[in-house]
Amino acid sequence: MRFAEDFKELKALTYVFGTQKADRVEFINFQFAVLKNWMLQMPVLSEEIREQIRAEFPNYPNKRAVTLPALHIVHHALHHVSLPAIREIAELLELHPSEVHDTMSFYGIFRTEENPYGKRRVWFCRSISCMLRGGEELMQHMCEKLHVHPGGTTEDGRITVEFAECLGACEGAPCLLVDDECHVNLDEKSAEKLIEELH
Amino acid sequence: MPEFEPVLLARIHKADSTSLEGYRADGGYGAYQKALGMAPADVTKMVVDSSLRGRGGAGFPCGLKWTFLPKDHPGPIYLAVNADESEPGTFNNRILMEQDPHQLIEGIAIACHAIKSEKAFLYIRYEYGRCYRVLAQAVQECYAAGLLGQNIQGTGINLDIQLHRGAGAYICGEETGLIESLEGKRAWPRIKPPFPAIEGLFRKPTIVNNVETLCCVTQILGRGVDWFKSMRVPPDPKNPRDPGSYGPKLYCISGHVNKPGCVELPMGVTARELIDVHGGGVWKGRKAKAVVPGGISMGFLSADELDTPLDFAGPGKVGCMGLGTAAIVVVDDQTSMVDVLFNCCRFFAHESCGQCTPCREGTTWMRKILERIRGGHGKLEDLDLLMEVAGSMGIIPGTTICGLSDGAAWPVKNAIAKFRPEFEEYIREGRRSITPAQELMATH
Amino acid sequence: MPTALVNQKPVELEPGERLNCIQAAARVGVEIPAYCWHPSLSVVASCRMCLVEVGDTKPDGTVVMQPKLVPGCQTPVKEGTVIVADSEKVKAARKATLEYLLLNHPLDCPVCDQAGECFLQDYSYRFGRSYSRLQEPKELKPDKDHIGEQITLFTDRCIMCTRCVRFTREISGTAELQVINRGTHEEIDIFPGEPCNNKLAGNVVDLCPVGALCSKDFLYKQRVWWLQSAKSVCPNCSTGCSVNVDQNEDHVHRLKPRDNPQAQGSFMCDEGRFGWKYLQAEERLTYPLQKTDTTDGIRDWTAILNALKQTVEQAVKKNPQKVAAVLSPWMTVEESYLLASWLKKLSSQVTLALGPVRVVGEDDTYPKDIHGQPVQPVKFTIRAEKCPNRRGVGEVLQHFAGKIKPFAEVVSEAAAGKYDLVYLVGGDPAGWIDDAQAQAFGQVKTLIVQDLLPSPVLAHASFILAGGSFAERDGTFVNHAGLAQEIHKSVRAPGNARADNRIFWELTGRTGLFHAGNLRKEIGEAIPALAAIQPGKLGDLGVLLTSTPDNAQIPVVHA
Repeated sequence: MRFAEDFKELKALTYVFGTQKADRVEFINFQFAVLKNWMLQMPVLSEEIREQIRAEFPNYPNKRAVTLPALHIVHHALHHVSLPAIREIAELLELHPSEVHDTMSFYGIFRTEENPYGKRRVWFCRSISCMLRGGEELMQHMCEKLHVHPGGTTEDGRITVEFAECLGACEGAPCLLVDDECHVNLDEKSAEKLIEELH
Repeated sequence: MPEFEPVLLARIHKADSTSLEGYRADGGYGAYQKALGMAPADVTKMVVDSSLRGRGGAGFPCGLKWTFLPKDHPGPIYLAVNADESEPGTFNNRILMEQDPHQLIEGIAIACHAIKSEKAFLYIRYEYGRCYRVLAQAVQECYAAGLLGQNIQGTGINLDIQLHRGAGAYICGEETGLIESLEGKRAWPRIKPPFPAIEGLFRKPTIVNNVETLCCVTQILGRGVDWFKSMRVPPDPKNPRDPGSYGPKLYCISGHVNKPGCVELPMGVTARELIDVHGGGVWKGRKAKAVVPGGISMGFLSADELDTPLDFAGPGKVGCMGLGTAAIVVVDDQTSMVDVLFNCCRFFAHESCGQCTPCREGTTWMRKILERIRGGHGKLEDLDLLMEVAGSMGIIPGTTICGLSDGAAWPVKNAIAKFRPEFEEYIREGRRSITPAQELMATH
Repeated sequence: MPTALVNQKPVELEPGERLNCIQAAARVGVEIPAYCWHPSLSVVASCRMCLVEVGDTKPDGTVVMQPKLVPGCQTPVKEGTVIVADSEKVKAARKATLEYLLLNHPLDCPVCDQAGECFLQDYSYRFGRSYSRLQEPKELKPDKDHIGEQITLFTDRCIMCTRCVRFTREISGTAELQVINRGTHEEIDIFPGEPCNNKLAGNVVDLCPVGALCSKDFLYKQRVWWLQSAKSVCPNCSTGCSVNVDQNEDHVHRLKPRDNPQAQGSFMCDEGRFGWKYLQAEERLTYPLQKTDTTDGIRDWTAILNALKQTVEQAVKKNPQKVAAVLSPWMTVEESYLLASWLKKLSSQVTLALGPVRVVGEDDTYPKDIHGQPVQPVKFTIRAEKCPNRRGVGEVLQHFAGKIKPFAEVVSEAAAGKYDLVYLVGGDPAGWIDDAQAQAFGQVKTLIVQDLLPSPVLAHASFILAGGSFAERDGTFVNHAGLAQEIHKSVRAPGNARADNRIFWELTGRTGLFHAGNLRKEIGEAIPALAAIQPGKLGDLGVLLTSTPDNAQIPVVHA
C-alpha cells in the first residue's frame, strides 16, 4: 500500500516545515494533498468485493464467464460501475477493460459513475399486458409525483424510476419491480403508498 | 368436458410447495431415481418417444435435439436452462420456478443424466429476483441432501447446478445469445452451423432447454410416455413435417380479461375457451378485437379467428408465426391496434441486439414509422412500406442471424393484414394518440 | 477435381480446398458483395450483404435449392454446390440491405475521405436503390477523435461490420476497440484511456469499408481519384510487406498494404505505413557533388559519373586490394549486381562488403495475449531486421565475393589505412553510420558516398551521389523468407537526385536505359541462387527463391 511510503515521506517533511504559522498552514495543505493523492490511487473495489468475485472462479471453466457475476457484485454494492471499477474487474478476470466495458454497455441495468441509481430502484413495466391495463400512465403519474423523468433519481437520492420491458407478471398488470421484489395489481393509490414507504 | 387435472401446476398452491421436504412428501425425485437406474440412452429414448416439443417458443422436438450431441464425446457436455423468459405476455416459467422449483431441478437432473452432463447452468433473467432466491434455496437443499454434487447417492454420477443472473436483455432468451451471455460477452447470437449441440457453451456440446420443457421431462419420467401422449393433437396427415402436439401446456392469459392467470390444459385449447372459460371473459363487458396467440412475436388473431386451436400447428394456419410461448394477450374493441402495434415495435427496437443489418435498422425504422403515424403524420403508403420492411427481415427469408427479426416482423404483418381498415382510417383522419407517458420514454 | 456452379459457370476446386461462396464466385469473376467478411478475420455473417441462393446437386443430377437465402461467407462450397447470385430474390435482398445501411448513414460523400474507394458507394451504385424512403429523423452519433493517435472515427458513418473490433481482438490481440450499447444505438469506441495505438493500428482504417475510421495522417489531404498507385514493397523491415504507394503530382500521400498471401497477408505495420515521411524531408540530398578546390565543386551528373568511372578504374589498376565497396541492404538486387559485377570484372581482388544491417530488438509477433505476450498462431510479424534486401544483396555478395564481409570489418580496416578508395552506398533513412565510424573513413583517399539523406561521413567524401528512395526506383527486394518482389517507381527523386539504378547503369558503362525486367534475366542466369527471377516479370506477388541456407551469420549492427 502506498500510504505507508507516503506517510514516511510525510513524517520526513515535518522536520522541513518550521513552526511559524504560515509554515503550518502550508503543511496542512500539503497533508491534504498527500491524502487526496493516496485516495485516488486506492483501489475502487474493496477486498471484500474482490473476494466475492474470486469466489465465482471455480464455478466456471474460464474467468471471462465471471464478467456478468462480477458486474452484478460491484453494481449491487456501489449502485454503479465506474471506469476504474471496470479496470479492476478486468484485471481480476485477466481481460482487457474494453472486453468488460462492451459487455456491460449491452445490458439494460448497469449504471455508470455519471448517474448511479438511488437507494431503491423502481421499474415500471411498459410492455403489452401492462400497457393495456394502464401501466404507462401509472409510471407517468409516479414520475410527476416524484419529480423525476424515467431513468432519473429523486433529489434525496431515495428512489430511481425506470421503465422496463415485460417483467413477467402479466397476470397482475400493471406491475412494478422494486429492486428484487415484484408488486402487482397496482393503481395510483397503491403505487404511491408502496413507493412512499420505501427506504 | 371434465376438468383437467393439472400436473405441472399441481403443487403451486400448497403451503410448502418450494421446500425439498414438501416435494419429497409428494413423491418428488422419484422420477430422478428411476432415471438413474436407466442407461442415459434409454432416458433419451423415452423423451424422444413422448414427442415432447420445446416450450420456449420454437417447438423443436426435445428428445431429437438431445440426440444431436456427438456420441462418445470426452466432455464436458453442458446443459443450459433457459430461464430468461422475456416474451411479453409470458409468465409461466416464473410461476413454475417460484412455486415449484424442485420440479425444475428434477428435470434438470434427469436431462443431465440423459445427455451425460455434469454441469448445468441456470440462466435466470435479472428481473426474476424472487425466482433466483427460491431456486438458490432449493439447490442448496439438494446439495445438502446429496441430490447434487459429487457421487450422487453413491451412483458415481456428478452434477453441479450453477445459477447465473442475466442483466436485462430479451435476446438472451435466444439459445446462442444465452450462450454468449453466459460466456461473459455481448449477447450477440451465433451463426449456425455449428449448432450448440456440437459447439455451444465454451465451445463444448451444449443442450439449451426451456424451464417448462424440463418440467415436462420430470413428469414424463414419472408418469410415463403413454400418459404424456394421451393428451394430444395428432399430426396433420397432409403435412409430413408436422410432429403433432403432445402433453399438457401452460397457457398464460393476460390483457383485457377479468381473470388473468396461468392455466394448465391439454394442447389444442382455443383462444375463445381460454378467454371465456378460464379468463373470466373480456373485461368491462367488452368484446375482443384481437388476441396475441403466443407472446407478441407470434402476431395477432383477429376476432373471427378465436376458434383456432392453440397447438403447435394451429396459429400458423391463420397467418400467425406459431404457438410461441402460448401466452395470449387480449385486446378489447375499444383499443386501437395502432397503439398496440406501436407497443410491439417499440419493444423489438429496444431489444434488437444490433448485430445484423435488417434487424438493427429495420426494427427501429418500423418503430419510427409507427411513431409518425401516431403523431398524426402518417400516409397510406406507410402501410405498404411497413409490410415490405417486415417481409424482408427474419430467418424465414434467411436475411438475419436469429428469429428476433421474425418476431419483430410478425405483429406488423398480422396487424396490417388483418386490421388494415382500422389503420387506414386512423391515417386518413390524421388521428394522434401518442400519450404523455410515451413522450417521457421517447428515443427508447 | 470437384466442381461447383456459380451463376451457371463452373468453378474448379482443388482437392481439400475450403472455399466459401464469395471466394468460389471470385474465381469465375462473379463478385458477391460483402462488408463484414474478410479472409483474415473470423466469419460473423452479420452485414447480410453477401446473401445468395445455394443448392446441392443430387447424385441423379437434380438440383435442390435451399428455400431461403444464405450468407455466402459462411456457406462452404463443395462438389455439386450450386450458387445463384443473380436471381431476383438475391437482387431484392441486396437492395434491402443497402437501404437499411443507408437509413442512418449521413450524406457525407462530399466531405468523406472514403469517397472514390467506398464500398457503400460502389455497392449502392451497382445493387441499391437510387432514392431513400426514410422520412424519419436519423440517429445522430458524435465524432470521436480520441480513438487513436492515428485514428479518428466518424461514428455515424459506421455500418457495424465489426471488422475493426475483430482485428484488434484476433490479429493484434490488443482489444482496444469495442462495440458499446445495443441495437440501433451501437457505436464503436475505445475504453476511455486505452486508445488504439498498437503497432498495427493503421490497418483498421483499411479494413473499414466506409469512411467511419479515418487516418489522421491522410484526413482531407487528397481525393483518391487523383492518386496514382504503384505496386511496391515496404522497405522498413525484412517482412517486406507488399504495398501500394499512392501519389499525386510526384508527392506521396500514403502507403497501403496490398494482399499477398506469400508475403505478409493483408496488413502492414504502422512503422512502415507512416514511416515514409523522409521521402519529402528538407534534408534530402538533391544534387550530386564532386568536391574540388572551388566552393561549389562539380554538380553535373555526366561530368561526375565520367570522372568517377575513371577514378575507380585507375584505383583498381593501381592496386585492387586497396579498393572496397560497401553494398547497403537497402539496395535492390539489380543495383547490387551492377556494382558488384562491374568491380569484380575490373579485378577479382576488390573487396566487397555488406552495409550495416540495423536490428532493433526482437521480431515482434502478433497477436498478443492479455499480458502482452505473443501467442500462437502468429498472424503478423514486425521483424527486428530493419532493412528490405539483406538476403538479395547477400546473394549477390556471396556469388561475387564468395563470402559476406560485415561492415564492421571494413570500418576497422579503413581506420587502419587499408583502403585508398571506398565506395559507400547508404540508403537507410534512419541513419547507418555514426561519427566514430565516419571518422574511420576519414583516412580513405577517395571516398564515394551514395545516399539519400545527409550523414556524418559526407564530410570525408570526395564524391557525393544523391540517390533515391524505394519509391523512386524500380528493382527487386528479397524478404526474410526469400520472396523476391518487384518494387516500382512511383515518384521522381527530388531536385537533381537520381534513382540509384540509373546511377549504376551509367557508371558501369551500360548503354541504353535501365530496364529491371531485362536485367533480371541476366542476373538469373549469372547467379544460380537468384535463378527464380530469371523470367524478368515476378508478378504481383513475387517469386520464392530456391531455398538457400539463410546467410544469417552476418553480424548485425544493433541500434
